[in-house]
Amino acid sequence: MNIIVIVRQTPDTETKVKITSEQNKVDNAGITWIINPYDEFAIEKALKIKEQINAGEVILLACGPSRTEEALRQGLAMGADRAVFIKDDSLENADAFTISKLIANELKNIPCDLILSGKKVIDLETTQIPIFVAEELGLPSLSLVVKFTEVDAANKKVTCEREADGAKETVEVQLPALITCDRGEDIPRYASITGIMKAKKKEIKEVVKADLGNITKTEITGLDLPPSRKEAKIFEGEIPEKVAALVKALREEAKVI
Amino acid sequence: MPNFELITDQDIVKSFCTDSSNYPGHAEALVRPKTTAEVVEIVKEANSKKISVTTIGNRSSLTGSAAAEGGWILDTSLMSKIIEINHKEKFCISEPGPMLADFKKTIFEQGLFYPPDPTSEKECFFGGSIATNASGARTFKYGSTRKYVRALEVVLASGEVLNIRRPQIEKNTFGYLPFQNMVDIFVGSEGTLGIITKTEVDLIERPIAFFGGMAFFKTFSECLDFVVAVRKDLRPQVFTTTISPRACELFDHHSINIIKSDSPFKIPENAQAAIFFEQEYDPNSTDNFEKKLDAWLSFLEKNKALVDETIIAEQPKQQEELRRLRHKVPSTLFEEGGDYVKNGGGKISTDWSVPINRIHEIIDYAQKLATEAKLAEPVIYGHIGNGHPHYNFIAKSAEEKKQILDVVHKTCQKVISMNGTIAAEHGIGKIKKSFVKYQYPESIINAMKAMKYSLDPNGILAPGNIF
Repeated sequence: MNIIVIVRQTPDTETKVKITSEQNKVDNAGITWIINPYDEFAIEKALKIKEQINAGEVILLACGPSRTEEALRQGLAMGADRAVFIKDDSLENADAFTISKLIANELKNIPCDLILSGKKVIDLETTQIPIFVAEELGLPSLSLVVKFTEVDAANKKVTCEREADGAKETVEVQLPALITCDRGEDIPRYASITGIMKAKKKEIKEVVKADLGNITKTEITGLDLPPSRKEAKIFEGEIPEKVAALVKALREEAKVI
Repeated sequence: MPNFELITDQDIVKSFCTDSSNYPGHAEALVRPKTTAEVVEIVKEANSKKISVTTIGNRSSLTGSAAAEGGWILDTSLMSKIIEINHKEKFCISEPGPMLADFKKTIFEQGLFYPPDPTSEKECFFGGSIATNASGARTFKYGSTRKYVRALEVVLASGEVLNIRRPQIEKNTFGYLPFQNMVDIFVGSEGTLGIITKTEVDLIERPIAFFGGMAFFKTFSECLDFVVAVRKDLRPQVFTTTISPRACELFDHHSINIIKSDSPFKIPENAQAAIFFEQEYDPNSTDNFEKKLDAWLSFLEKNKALVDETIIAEQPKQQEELRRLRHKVPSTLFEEGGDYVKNGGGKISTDWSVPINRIHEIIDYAQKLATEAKLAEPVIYGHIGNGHPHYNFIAKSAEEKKQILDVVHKTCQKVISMNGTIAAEHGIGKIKKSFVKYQYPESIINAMKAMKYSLDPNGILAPGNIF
């Protein structure tokens, strides 16, 4: 049973986002890039399934500019078997529809039973790529899965738990299918030093971006940083005065008491 | 009438009276100056009335040095301005009050680096780290706080303001050595000689990149062998090995148990000890990530680490997690010890250190003493790369505390016979004074006292600390 994990690369969560002077792109200078954390959960789940059924391969698939290779190396160091990389620097600011089409197009060439991905990408908070891919390939898709409770490789079936607003749903799905993952109880494994060394020898197959013409559906025309927060209010004077002023402000300005 | 606010409300004052050692301090009043001029005024008033003044940072001391023994507590939290960050000459001038981690973050975000990293950096003030010559995991590569202090503004007990600077000259034969460089007298003086109101520290270029790691070992002894191998060259901060970690921190099996419950990575069942390390690299040079990793792998293999289980933290979040786990050991012990304070027990921390080639010997010796005394096993962790483990006990009762202290006293005497120190990191404060006699002859301790009373004739500054 082969499992494909769609991997995206995003700025580290601590990144202080800067916007280019044209106000339509994020300035990439000085950014530390990481695997999209939700895709890391997907990799972890894929590796666990593989360990459980003791068969098949975990294959990573990425579509993006050259720097994305680093995310693939990190995923391979975690234990994935090999990677396929649609590498093209023109994809730096490609929209979700274009990326989905390219991924779906490549997936037609890789035999697999299960496609996993994170439930969203943390940079622009997009959630649609995996769903578009499933639609394009005519596969059933499930979102927000926290746990695989049963994997029946012989009958090509998985049972999983998905969570939404505190409710838990158990779903059985016939493979092939595409599933987006939430964290659940899985903590993505740290790469071991030998894992990183082995990853250097694992295959990252680079494929040329298919020529699908201009299929861009959306374009970012403007980006703004959120407005900075109001300064804190500091009350001066003796403690009884400060307390009275604080209570007055909470009642009259903040209207919380 | 003095021109500063004296807070005498005991409900407030009491909340400033102890530190992380749980030493029971007491004071009549609290003062919270905002400027050096106010500090001068406070000190003059106190000195004229022979009222003691204990200067405090964020009270993370483990020795009671920030727990006042009467008089006034001088809180530095309102003097928290970072005055200048100079990129051209790479220095920073700051008041004592910023939290050390915030201070470092501000500098880091401006593209520079201030290396000292005491484990309590999120809980201690910059000023406190100067007054105690703080050190931490990265001291292994970068040295302790002292090395970075260029100049100080110090208010003496008389109210005199000293502006002193580390000498710029290369040769000098005038004066006893400590007086040739007065900065070093005040760094680490635990508030006993003067009140540090401004500090200028050296900054360095920000390291381009680093990775963290945790290597596990089947036996504690093999883990110590590994550390000795890392520090084959005994000169501090010099590496003759192929690897050059900036941190080399120990976890014994008890510390491993502490971190196991919420470790984000799998800890091998057979691990009896671990080393947390950090390695810098330059991705754009020949000494890049892969080269460094190659060197680490062969070094780990050669020195019996469980290589397949050695994890590497490449991503910032993972690196932060490793440091969090390292911090979890002392904070768990602190909490655990706190439960026994009411019974007269508590956590007993040690910070002795020996030359690295004696580390096996001293730990064997200390373990033998603990076993003979039938004590519960200590938790051994920390800055082993500097020959400086924390060898800590939890005393469940006053009786047990007495037995443990007896073992610690004997251990410290052995440490001194091996040319070590009784206080590599935490200073002396109030709770380690009985150990002082092991390290220096009485005549030298008297000379230190004479200097203290020459600068502070009424003994008003931080009474009870060191002497």
